[in-house]
Amino acid sequence: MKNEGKALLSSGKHQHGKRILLHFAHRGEARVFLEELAVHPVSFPVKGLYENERFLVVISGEGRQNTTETLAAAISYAGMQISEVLNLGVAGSLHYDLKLNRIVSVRTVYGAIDNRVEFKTFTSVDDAAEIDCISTSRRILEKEDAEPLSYFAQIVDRELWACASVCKRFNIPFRSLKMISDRAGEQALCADIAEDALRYSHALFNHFKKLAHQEEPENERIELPDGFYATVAQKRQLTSLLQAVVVKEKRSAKHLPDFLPIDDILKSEKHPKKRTIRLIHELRDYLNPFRRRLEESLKPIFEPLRGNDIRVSPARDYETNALGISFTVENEDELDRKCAALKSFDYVAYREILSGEVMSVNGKSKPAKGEDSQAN
Amino acid sequence: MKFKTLFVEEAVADDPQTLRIIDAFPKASVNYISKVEDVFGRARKPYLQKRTSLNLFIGRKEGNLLKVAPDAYGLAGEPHFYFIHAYNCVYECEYCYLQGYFKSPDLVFFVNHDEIIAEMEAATLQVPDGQHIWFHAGEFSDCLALSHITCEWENYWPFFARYPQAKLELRTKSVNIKVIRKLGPLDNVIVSFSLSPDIALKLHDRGTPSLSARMKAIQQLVEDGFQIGLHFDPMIYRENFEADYEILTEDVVRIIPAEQLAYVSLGVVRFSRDVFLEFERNYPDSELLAAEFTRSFDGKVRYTRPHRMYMLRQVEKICHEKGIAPHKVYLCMENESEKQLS
Repeated sequence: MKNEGKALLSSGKHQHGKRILLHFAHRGEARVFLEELAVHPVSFPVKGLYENERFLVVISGEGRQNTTETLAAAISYAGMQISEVLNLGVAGSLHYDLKLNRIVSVRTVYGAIDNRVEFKTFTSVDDAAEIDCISTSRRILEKEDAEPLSYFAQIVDRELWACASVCKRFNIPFRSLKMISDRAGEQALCADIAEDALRYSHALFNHFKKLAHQEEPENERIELPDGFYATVAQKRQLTSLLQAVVVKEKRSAKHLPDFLPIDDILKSEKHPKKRTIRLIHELRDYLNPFRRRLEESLKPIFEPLRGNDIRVSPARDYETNALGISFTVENEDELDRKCAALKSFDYVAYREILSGEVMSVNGKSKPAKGEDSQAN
Repeated sequence: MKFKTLFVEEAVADDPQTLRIIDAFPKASVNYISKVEDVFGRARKPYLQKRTSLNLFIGRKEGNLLKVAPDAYGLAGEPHFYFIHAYNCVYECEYCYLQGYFKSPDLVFFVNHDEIIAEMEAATLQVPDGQHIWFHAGEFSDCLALSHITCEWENYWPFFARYPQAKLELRTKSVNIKVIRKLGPLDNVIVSFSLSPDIALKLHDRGTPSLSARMKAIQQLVEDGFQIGLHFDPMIYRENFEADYEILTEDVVRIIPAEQLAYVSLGVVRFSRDVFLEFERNYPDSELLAAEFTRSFDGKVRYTRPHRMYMLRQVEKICHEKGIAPHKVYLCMENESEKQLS
């Protein structure tokens, strides 16, 4: 289990003002965390909530309902300012090859009510985790009950599925560190596990501390260069386009300024708003060179209309052959002129372009009405 | 291929094919269950866990064993059915629809081939004289990738030898052709390969054999006398993709004589909405995500219509120019497929 729990809590560190919520079922498991993190109790109708500047600690009590109620209340108390939920606690082993007292990071959590396995599952943000957990509605005391659960996961607990479900509801990432305390179905005494709780708490805290020191590089942000002005919608559009460029070019966002034609745009366009429009066009053309070819192919077809102040609106993404045509007239001459332009409009050529007769890289599209035909 | 655990339906526990498959994985633990569905797909299992924790289920296929194929599934004018002998695939193509289909990447092998063949026989006997009926395999799995373990095709060969009016298509990206070479060619069995230009395979078809390996496998099957089908599907746009397809098509016509090339199907990359969401989640760094897609006529996510039609036209033209007979080229899963483009 190399790299297990890698980059733990990094998302919390880089999201301004957000805290990490640590969730435990039992006070005994949380004890060392409460002391070492120096969190103080919160005066709140739901008991078991502690906080400091960086962390919220929630002790929910055992089982699905306690977890759902307490965790949802805690997240609401924090005003949704939670970067990540980390569930910590003990779990029973369903597979004999898992060593006791080992701490594992959970990959996917399954849920079971009585013997019925829930379809919904939740996957933690720890990409390196390899152990799955199944959360059951009752304690697993018999081997016959443990076996069917082992088809789905290697460890079993009572709370993680509910915890992950609440996280999903609030759109907060989660992860989970579990100490394997016993073999499920072997009648481990809860009293024994409770007696060992302090030892588990120490071990979990030590693991937590080590992982909390591993940091991921800060998320790269894509920023608009000076000399450009973008509306909120344009910023959103640019972010998405620039992210696509990052994916296509397989290069880091910080190298984008060298790659984009920023200087050209700054020189050729005076207005910050126009520069942004041009940048958006350039990016779209770069990402989808076919679009430029399509527009080049359509240009001569639309020319008779646009040249006479007639607006054309193709169907969304050209998915159908429908074409909106609109114009205004102020006198009879203008009406005659626009009618003549409409008559000269080659709708068949338009339809054929939408059916794939687009200008090829080295060739021409089918000529518009009135032009000489030319073999490809 | 490593499986962590085998799950075997009790009803097929003694089936010779089941026993053969179990023997092939001596290190995997074996659990006997009542029904595949008791565990498989019971809870959503993330697709990419196929890389580290893949299970194998062996069971009996229930329900309709033959399904009417959708329009534009094969050459037009003849009845087409597909049958399901397995679920899921060992490969990991970024665009694959299986990533959103079963809610689990685990593999399922069905072993009741005798029942499938009985349904094929019933359907074949209803076909008027002089007409063909098609059976396609590989809708939900690769037909050949694990055929050395499953050995199912030996069950089907005698049926297709007996009924020449019934045609079998085995769809694959694999080069695992040992088993079918041993069975030998039949005129009505078409082994069809999905092919894309080398660069596209490297970028998007993870874990699949290279183009050169597939070409070599095709060449061996051609030499044995097999009929070959080709799927230029999915086509993925790159600048100058036309040049890539010219090279690919030239290679294909050089290797496959016209009389052994059964058909070429053309299709442009497409996703159902669910699969697209899975694809985005599973492959956030895929170059394909930089492309401009739209919701198309049937709700699927595709390139814009002029874009995909342009690609189809260009590649269709290339096929014709390289000497592939027009009636052997068809468009797969496109609304204009009922009429050939040119």
